[in-house]
Amino acid sequence: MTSRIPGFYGWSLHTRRAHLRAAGQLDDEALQDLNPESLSLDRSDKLIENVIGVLGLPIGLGLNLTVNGEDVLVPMVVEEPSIVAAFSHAAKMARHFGGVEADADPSHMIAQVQMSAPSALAAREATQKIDASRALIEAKARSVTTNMEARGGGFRRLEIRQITDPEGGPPMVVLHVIVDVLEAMGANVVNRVAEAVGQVVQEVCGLRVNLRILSNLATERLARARARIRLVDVGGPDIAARIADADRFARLDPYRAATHNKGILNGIDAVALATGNDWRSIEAGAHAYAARSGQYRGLTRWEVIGDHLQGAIELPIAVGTVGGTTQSHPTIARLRALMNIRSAQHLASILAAVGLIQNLGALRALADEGIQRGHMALHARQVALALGAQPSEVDAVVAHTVAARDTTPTSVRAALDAHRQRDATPTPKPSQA
Amino acid sequence: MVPEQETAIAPGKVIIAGEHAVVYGHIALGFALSRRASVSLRPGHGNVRVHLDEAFALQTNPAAARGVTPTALVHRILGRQRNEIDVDIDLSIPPMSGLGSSAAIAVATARAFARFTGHKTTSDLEIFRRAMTAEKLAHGRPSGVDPAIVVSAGLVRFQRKSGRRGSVLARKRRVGARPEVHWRRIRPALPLSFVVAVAGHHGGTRGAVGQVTALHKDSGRMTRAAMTTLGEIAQASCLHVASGNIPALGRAMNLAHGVLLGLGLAHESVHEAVRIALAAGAIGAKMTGAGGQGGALIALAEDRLGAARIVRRLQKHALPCWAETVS
Repeated sequence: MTSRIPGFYGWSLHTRRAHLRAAGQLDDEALQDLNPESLSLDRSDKLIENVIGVLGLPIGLGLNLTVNGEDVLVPMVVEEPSIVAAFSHAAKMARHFGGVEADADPSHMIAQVQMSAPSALAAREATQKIDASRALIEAKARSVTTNMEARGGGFRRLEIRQITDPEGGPPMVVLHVIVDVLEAMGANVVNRVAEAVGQVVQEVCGLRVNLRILSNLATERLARARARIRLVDVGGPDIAARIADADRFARLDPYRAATHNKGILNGIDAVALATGNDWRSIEAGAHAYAARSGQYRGLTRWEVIGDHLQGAIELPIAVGTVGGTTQSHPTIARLRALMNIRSAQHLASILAAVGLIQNLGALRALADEGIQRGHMALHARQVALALGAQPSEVDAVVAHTVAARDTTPTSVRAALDAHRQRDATPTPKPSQA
Repeated sequence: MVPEQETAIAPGKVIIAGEHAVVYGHIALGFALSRRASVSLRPGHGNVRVHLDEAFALQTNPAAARGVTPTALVHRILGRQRNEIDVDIDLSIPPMSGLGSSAAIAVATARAFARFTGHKTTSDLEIFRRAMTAEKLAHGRPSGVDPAIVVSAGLVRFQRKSGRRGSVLARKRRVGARPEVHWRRIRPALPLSFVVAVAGHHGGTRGAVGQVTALHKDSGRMTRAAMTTLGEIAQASCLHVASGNIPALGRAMNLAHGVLLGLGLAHESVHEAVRIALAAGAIGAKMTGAGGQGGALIALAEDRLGAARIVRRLQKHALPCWAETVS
């Protein structure tokens, strides 16, 4: 189905749900699973420890996204206002040139086996011994990935690294085992490989193996996306130039880069959460990757090329379509179905596209009116709700506060009181909109 | 002590420029694929089993398999011990497509066999020589470009010079008229994104080779000049790769395809796939490989996203293909 649904933003929640049902995207049962009570207390008690309740979060629908010529409806689970709106707005800008082009590497994860050596010489000797026993180590790794091997995944290769400590501590020898985890996020199988291999490595090289665990810096599992936007769609050549300049700022300055990348992850995390993936590992990988040159930088590159703005992003994205909560949480199963995810690689490429578009949305707002104006209406809405406004009253109150350009609680309170008074005394005058 | 089992892995190869012409002493440029042959040797009774990636099993036309079998290749390398060793071959390279499956099997077997017989370190040159004996079975008059790339496992500039003209090395070693091969690895200035696809119906080039013969009868100078052109394209391609000039490399590949097509050395289905790749935004695309069976193509993309786009388009036409990055 098309991801372009004009008017969706202005509809009531019930109309939006009715529309998705009519479009055949979500049946009644599926909509039921999108209700706040879908994750029962009993079920949540089995997910983690010491459970005392369940926290609800809104699910917004990101619109207008096209990835590799296919429209995708993007469920976003997030508590921060304006993320979903900015995403949908930016995704629409990218539609003229066919949307976002995206791709993801095969699901290659890195298992780390770490040893400390008493001296540089010992580290070199251990490295040689490990190198000479590659076949043995590979056989051990394969022995614990037989299920994955049968489906075409499993062991891929070994890399041996030596790490010196600039503070003078003992040098380290680190073995990387690269494993294709196919449709899984892969933490379990990779940790299993690390532990199995660790035993062999210790016997082979004589050094005591310390840590045996996956790395969240999944540099063998990168996803990338690119989009072109017509200058008119982005708001003209001046705004496009300001976006490119803001992007350059993030490449040069870590203070800006942190905020810039946070904006990218606003979108990626929201979709990762909606699809039951470990967004903390994506966060960790993205930030580490952003610092791979030795300086922390922005993850994107936006440039004005001729009559369009072109943006690209690349970052590690380790997500799965099986395992974890991806199947056990009723809401997550429905949201994944809504996205028509075909594979872990497909999902990773969509996430890269979401990150790029979310970034465009943020830069567009910053380069144009500043983030505050765009936020104002959404902020006013939250303040009004916090002050006890009924859903039926919110729209009128927000319209009033935004017109007055003041969203402080005092002002919103005044607007709410004024609205209630107007409603109480029947006057023929229509309220300002 | 008889070892229990020895396994070695060797990659397939793809030629960027210079196939066919390399036999006449011109330069060829190619790189090792991410797809591999894995060969395991263990004590046994001369059994050879081949496990082929399912995706390509369907592609292999049994009628075309009259060429050399993996068993013959492997046994040529194992020599007298062929009946004391069982061999398992795992192949993720599409066979008989000019993508170096026979060289990969030969090199992997030679490596595993060297270790199997207790030689811990064997030089690349020695492995190359052993693989060449098997290559002669597969190709009759091999240039050696396939095993050279496979042994080096990287991006390689290759040339086989006639021994008669003689390099210093050839004279010193008194190898007389035996051709001398030279190869070295090249580092590309930028990472290069390619797409490799299999499109040909195997065994379809018999008639095409006839066309070269006919052209040669028409004018030997003309066909020799065409081969020289292919060699010049390869030489230019080496420079473009080293300097990171992707548009120029693409143009060179397009020209090579045109020449090969004119010589009748590109199968119609490969030509069709080249056109699909170009329509999908390839910077350059051409048929690749000179294996008697033909059937593969290589396309150059602007970057990895471009390669992914070309892969999607070729897959829509049900052509087996994948992306390769050279860096």
